[in-house]
Amino acid sequence: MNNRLKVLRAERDWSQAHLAEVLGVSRQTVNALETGRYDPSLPLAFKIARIFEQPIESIFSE
Amino acid sequence: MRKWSKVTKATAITLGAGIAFLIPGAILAGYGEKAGWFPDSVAILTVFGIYAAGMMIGALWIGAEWMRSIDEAAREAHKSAWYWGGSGGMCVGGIAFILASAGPWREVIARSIGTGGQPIDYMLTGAALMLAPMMIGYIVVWTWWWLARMRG
Repeated sequence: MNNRLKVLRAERDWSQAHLAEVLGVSRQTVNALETGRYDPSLPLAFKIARIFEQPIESIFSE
Repeated sequence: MRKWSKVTKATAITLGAGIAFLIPGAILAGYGEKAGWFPDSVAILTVFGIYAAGMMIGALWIGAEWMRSIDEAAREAHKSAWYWGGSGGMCVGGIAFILASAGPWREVIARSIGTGGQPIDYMLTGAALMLAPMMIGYIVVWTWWWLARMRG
């Protein structure tokens, strides 16, 4: 699965550590999400969508 | 004052309660049996039985608190390690189980192990031979999962 997490984070000038804190996960998890090595659970995907104020499908794609 | 994490608290309570129960319990059981308060070995068997069960209940509690404290990716790593590592290790142990159960290997294994031990030693060895490959499998799969996804 692909995602625009890195772009969205860069647009807000957030560090991985900051996003990790907001999401309640580790920085390594944010890195794994951004590099597409780990696909988030549905609750985490919803949380990401809420934080970036975008629909899930505009952040994640197949 | 620094707040203890739930994992630390569960660990401290489990170990502390274990020691607080075992030492006086064993002394009381030993003294009581000598004094004729309890039938032969019943008290000491009960104390050690409760201790073993209590420690494992505590271990489950610590594990539950720790699982709650890690994030979902770390949890996924452990789920994967539990299933694939544990199952893989169980299959390795299963080879020994099948070969030792019947057939030509049974005699070879019996000869190589020897016949000098007590049945309890063999039981302990069998349990260790089932547990060890599962634990090794768990560690191998967890390490692979983590390095494949969480590096960087």
